[in-house]
Amino acid sequence: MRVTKEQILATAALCRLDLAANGEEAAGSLAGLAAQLDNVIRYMDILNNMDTDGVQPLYSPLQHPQPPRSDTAEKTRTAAEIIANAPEREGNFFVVPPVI
Amino acid sequence: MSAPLHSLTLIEAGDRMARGTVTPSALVDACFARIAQTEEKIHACITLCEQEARAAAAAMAGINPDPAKALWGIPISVKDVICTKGIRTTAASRMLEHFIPPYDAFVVRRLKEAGAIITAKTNMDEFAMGSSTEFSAFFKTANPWDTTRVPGGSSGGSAASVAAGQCFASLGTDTGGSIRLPAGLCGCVGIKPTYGRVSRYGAVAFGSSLDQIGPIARTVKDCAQVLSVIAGCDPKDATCCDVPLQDYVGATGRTGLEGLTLGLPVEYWREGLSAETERVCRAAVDTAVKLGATVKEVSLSGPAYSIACYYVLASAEASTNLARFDGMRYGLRAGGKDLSACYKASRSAGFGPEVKRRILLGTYALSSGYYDAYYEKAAKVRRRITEDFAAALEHCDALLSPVSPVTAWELGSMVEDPLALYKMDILTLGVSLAGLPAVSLPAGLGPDSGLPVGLQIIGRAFDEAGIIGIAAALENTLPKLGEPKGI
Repeated sequence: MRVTKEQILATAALCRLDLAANGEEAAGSLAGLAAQLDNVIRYMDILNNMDTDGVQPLYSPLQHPQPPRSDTAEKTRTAAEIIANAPEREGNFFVVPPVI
Repeated sequence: MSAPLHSLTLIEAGDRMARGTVTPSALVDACFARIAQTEEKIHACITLCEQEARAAAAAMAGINPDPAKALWGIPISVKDVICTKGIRTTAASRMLEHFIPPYDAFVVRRLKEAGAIITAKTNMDEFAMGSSTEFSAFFKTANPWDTTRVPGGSSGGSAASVAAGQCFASLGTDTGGSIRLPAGLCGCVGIKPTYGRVSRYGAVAFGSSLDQIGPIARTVKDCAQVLSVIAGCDPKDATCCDVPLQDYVGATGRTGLEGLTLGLPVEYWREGLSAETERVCRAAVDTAVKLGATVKEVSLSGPAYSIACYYVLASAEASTNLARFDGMRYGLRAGGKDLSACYKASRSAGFGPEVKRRILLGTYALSSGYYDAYYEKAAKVRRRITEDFAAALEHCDALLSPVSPVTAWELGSMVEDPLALYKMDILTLGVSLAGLPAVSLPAGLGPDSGLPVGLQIIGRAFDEAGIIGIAAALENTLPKLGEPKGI
C-alpha cells in the first residue's frame, strides 16, 4: 500500500484536519480513507507514462494579457458589514482563541 | 392550449413581456408554483429567495420592459457558491451554513443590472467538489428525468432547477465539468466559457486556474443571452481577460454548418461509452454532416491522463484555497482551547468527507518529497494536453464528443468509490485543463434508459460564438427531449 494510515495522519496535521477526533469509529474510517486515497494516488501514477522531458509546467491556461487595474482607493464596505459574519467579535475586532 | 408559463424559454418569456402579455410577477408566480410542485421530489434549492423575488417583480409592475436590459423580469437561479448580497451563500457546506455575503459577485451584479430576478440559491456538491450533487452537506438533488438518479454535478441543483421549470436559466460554475455534466444529464444546455471570459469575483474559489462561471438554460439562445450579460472584463478578477466580446445571441442565427470542419477526438469516442451514449452522439455527428459540416478524426492525449492531471492540480489548488476556512473571520468555529486546536476543530467539523479527501490529496501532492512527482509532473502533462487541443483546433473549427460516458446513474451507487466517480468527468476535464470553451447540448434520449444524452462542442479560446452557432444549428435539427418524466 502506497498511502499508509500514518502518512494520512501526517498529511492531515499539515492541513489542520483532525481525522482521529472520534476515537475507534474514526480509526476504522481512517483505514478506509487510506485505502481510498491509495487507490487514487496509484491511478495518478499513469502520469509517468507520458514523456514530459523538456516540457515546461503549465500552471494557468491564460494566454492573453491581463491588464492591471489602477491603484486607487475605493470605498466598498464598512467594517461593521465585514465583521458581521465573524463567529466571535468585540466592536470591530475579531475575537480569537489564545495564540501563545 | 398555450404552454404553461414555466415551460417557456427565456427568450419567449422576454418576448411576451415586451408584448405586454405577461408580467414579471406572473413569471415569478409561475416559477414558485413550479418550485412548490417539484422541489419535494428533486431538492434543487438550498435557499429560496421568494420574498426578494416577489418584491423585485412587484417593483416592475406597470413599467415597460427596458430593451437595454437583456434579462428584464426574468427569474433566474444561482448556484450557491456565488455570493449574493444579503442572501446566505453556503457552498453547500456546514462551514458556510450561516454566511451572508456583504457583497454581490460580479456576475450577480451583472444579472441584477440586466433586470434579472433571483429566485433561489441552488444545491451543489460541497465547495463544487463532486460530479453528482450527492456531496452537499444538506441534501442530495435528484434528476427531474428520474428521481432515483443523480442530476450530475457539481452544479446539479442549477441544472435540475432549469429542467424542472423552476426558473428560466441558472448560473453554474465549472472547474472540471460542473456545468457541462449536470446540463448533459438533465437535458439542458450549458456553456463553460473560456477561462478568463467571465469574472470570478465573488465565487467561492475551488481550483483557481480552472474555475469558470457559466449559464445553464433550456435552449442555446437562452444560454447565449445570459452569457452576453455576464461576460466581460472585471478589474477585480486579475485572470479576467480584456478580449473583445462576440455577439453570442446573434451567433444562434446559424442554421447550416457548411464550410466548417468538426474534429472527433478518437480517444474520446473509443472506450467506456455506454452503447446508447455512443449511438445518440454518433447520430448527432451524422446530423452535423447533413447540415454541411466536414467531420474528421483527430487525436488528443488519452483522457485518462486528464483525470490524473486534473485531480492532482485541482486538489492542490483546493487545498490552498480552502486554507482560508479556519473559523476565525467567518464560517464555522467549533471551539478548541488555543488557536491551533480551534483551526483543527473548525475545519474537521465544517468540511464534509469529499472535501477532506481532496484537501488531503492536494496537501499530499504539494508536500515535500511528492511535489515533483505529482504536482509538477501534472503541470507538465497539462501543457501537453493543452498543446494537443491547440493543434487539433488549428485544423478544426470545433471538436465533438459525448459529455459523459453514461447517462444519469443511480443515486448512491458511487459514493463509496471516489475514483469511479472521478472517472465520470473523463470527457470534460481536458477542456478545463486547456481553459477552452465548450457547450453541452442535449443530443437526444438514450434508447435504453430514456434519459438525456449530452453532446460536447469544444471551441477555440474566446470563440464562444463559434460553438454557440454550431450548437444552435444542431439544436434546430436534433430530436426534442420533451418534458422531464420524473416529476
